Amino acid sequence: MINKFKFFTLLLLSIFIVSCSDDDSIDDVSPEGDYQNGFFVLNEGSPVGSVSFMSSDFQELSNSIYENKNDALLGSYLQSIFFEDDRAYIISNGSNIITVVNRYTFELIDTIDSDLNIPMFGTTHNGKAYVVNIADFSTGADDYLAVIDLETLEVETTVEIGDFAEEIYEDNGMIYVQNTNYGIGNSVSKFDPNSNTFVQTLEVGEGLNSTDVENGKMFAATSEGLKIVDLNSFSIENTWELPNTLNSIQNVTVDDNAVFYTSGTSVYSTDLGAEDLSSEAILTYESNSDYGVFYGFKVEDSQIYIADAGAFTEAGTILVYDISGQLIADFTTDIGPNGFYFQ
Amino acid sequence: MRYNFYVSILTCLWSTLVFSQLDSIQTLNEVLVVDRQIKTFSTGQLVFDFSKTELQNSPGTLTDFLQQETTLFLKQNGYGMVSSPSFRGTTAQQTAVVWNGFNINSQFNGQTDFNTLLVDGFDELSVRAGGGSVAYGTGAIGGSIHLKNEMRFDGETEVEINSRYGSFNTLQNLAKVSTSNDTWSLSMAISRLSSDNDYDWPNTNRQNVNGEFEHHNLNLNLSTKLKRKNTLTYHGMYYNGDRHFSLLFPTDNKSKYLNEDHRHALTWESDFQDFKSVLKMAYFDEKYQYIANIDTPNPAESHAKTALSRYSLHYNIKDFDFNFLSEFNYSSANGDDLVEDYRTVTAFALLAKNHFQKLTSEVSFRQEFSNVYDSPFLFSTGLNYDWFEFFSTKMNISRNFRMPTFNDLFWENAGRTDLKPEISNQAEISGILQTKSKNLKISVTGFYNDITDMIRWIPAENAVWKPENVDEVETYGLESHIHFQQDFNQHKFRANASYAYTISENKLTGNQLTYVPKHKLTSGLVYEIQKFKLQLQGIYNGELYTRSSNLPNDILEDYVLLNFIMTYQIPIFQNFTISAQVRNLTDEAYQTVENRPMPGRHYFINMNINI
Repeated sequence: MINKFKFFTLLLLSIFIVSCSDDDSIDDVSPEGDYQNGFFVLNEGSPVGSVSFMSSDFQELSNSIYENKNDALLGSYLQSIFFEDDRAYIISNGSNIITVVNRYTFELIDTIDSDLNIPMFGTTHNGKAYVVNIADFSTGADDYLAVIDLETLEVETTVEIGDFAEEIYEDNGMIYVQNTNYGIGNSVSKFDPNSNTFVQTLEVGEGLNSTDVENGKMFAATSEGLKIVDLNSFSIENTWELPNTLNSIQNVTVDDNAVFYTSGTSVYSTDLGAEDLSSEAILTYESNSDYGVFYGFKVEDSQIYIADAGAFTEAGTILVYDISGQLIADFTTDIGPNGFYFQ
Repeated sequence: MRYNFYVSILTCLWSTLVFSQLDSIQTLNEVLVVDRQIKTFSTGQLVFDFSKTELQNSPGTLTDFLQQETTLFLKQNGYGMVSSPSFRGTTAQQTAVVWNGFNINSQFNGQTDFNTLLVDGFDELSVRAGGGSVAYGTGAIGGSIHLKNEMRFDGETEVEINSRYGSFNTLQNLAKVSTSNDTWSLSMAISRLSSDNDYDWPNTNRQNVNGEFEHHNLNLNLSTKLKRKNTLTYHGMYYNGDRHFSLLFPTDNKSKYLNEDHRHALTWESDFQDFKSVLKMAYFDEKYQYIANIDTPNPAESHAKTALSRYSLHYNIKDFDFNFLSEFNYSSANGDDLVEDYRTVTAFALLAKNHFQKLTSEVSFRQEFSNVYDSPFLFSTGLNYDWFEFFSTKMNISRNFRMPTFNDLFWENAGRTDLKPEISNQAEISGILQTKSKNLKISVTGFYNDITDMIRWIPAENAVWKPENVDEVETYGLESHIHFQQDFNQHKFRANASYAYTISENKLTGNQLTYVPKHKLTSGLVYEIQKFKLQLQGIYNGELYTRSSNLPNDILEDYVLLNFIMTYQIPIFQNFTISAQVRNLTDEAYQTVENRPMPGRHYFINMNINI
């Protein structure tokens, strides 16, 4: 009875407010969706994954936003999200499914669920999506690129990559695939979306483990150090040798004329104009397990985002630092956080 | 001298306790004891025995049976899928499955998948909670499950055919033959279980997809009495399973698992006056194939072989039972993901028991030596005391262990040979109340178990998972069992109930381990009148945590399951019985693993012919 009363009061009140305001101000009060200012954290899951959203002031965290909106699950082992216009495409590699949602409301639009086989990463170009599929984990021979029409959400064609495949980027009308798989592989291949063929492969270096692309350059962390590939000429433009004091570098990401990378539980950065790779840590964080560190890592607008997956038996931890290494936020999301995506 | 040694140890360990005897184990002469250690050396522990009739009454696998009849919690990835037990809050790898006296947990992962063992072909199953490493070696930490084939020399010939059909096109057939005379005994059982297992997921519009399975089991047992009190016995078992793994999401790749195991054991038993000498030679072979995607099959295979010999000398003098045990075990394994290697284990054990008036006491030791890990010194000591005719108590203290498995040791790029075995120190105490007429029996047990160096696979660099001796766990709780029976002329009533309260805490975080319910209750009611029998079974599983953080949202809800069974023995044909079962009577929607719904209400009919 009381509930009903409250409900009607609210209803009346809202009608009153709505009728009092003009159309423009309604748009201001309720923007395009709940997930306007902030970032998504993708949680891989064990096995069923989820997406969390954190407001840009780190005040409001929403977990399992897809489930709560659509009363459905996203699939097992979520790998990555790619975006095009107002849509987000969430890739589940355990369930061979790409869930298409409105990126601001997270309302389900459709799913892409055929002709995928362990999809990992995707990018878009000219109305098409290009998604890397691993197929059989034990071999790179069957890895392929699925070309998806973003209008029909159908896989148009598939192209064999001929090698392991992981990350994928679009730059200046060309598609680039990192040919590695969990630490195996050392090259990058170039795909021409006009002819749907792989046109060139470049050996980047032994132990290639991560890449990032910015302004026509690819930054690649290898066991030899950090390599910069000029994508236009598709050749290695510069090599920064691995500093003696670091065993390895991982998780390369570029932000504002500086390249960031990790080693152990520390974060480093080097200005793009610098001579050598810096071995001076910006920050070192405590991980509650010795492993599962930097399961997700990203630098955006001079803020450092770290996802620590712990032992994968409970929600992972998100840590946000400023560029000087001061902690500015600390919260938990869900099992296996592996990526940050900014609105 | 020996007596003094024995007494001094006992006094040491139990200095403040003065007790006397109980148990007199009666074994008919014409039945050969297969698993002698559990019969003789279970002092201080409770053993629950189940007959073959009870085994055949339950449909399907070891999972179905234990779930109903014991306090074990079993989690299944959907019905019939990978099933692992938690025995007193421990893990599947800390539960030993013992076949005719031999530990048969997988060499690869150290556990038995309880959905890959058909129980209907066995003659007896015993469940003993608590440590058993002194007699059974690795893995007997939470408890042990003993599957036994009986060898009779009573001249009887028996043929039994059991056939069950039910929902989801589930078909289970058993054919069993046994025959014997004074000097020979033969028994053979073939059983088969298959199911489409395509049940509807309750409260959804989805169906269980790719959940079908087909299991075959063959048991062969042959025994002969030779001259001068020598007996030669062969036990053989062959198992073949073809099981698909049900999908979480309809678009998942369809995977399946094939396994083929065979086990052979030859026993030569000689009786001298006070001595019994038992030599056993055994060979076990286990093979599996995992196919990650049945549309583009690229099987990953592994194959393990174990050869072992065990010599056991039993000496019985007056009120003492001694058993000296020595064993040599050689295992080798190879596979697509394993570095080919071998492991040897040599073990020596001494078990001793004494009856003195109302007190039975036992002290046992075991030391193993292996080429790949250092083994701890193991012991077990127990006391039974009969206070009154109707009340007795039991106590047991033991140290048990689990060795690293082949996967832990030799998994390609991940296995580590510097792992230590898991060690468990535990104690338990029980009180047993039994009326003179044996109409009512109540037992209550309190247990405590401290486990260190638990091996867990945790993620290392480059997404490779590696085993580590990381966890320390403390488990404690209560178990209680009630059995009641009463006959009023033609009306026969029987009631059983068990309840377990289990705390299983990670010592570092103080949190309850995942998938260990704090409460479990089982019950069974039987009413018989003439040729009719009605049975109602119930299980209550308390809520449990799915994540180690124990947050309020990370739970699986508690549930109640009821089964109803009606049996009728057809009068004109004495040995023909027909029964009908309704399982999950109330159509409860439940899961034992997150996002893995179990079947709603379903039905079986069963026919049994016994000649």
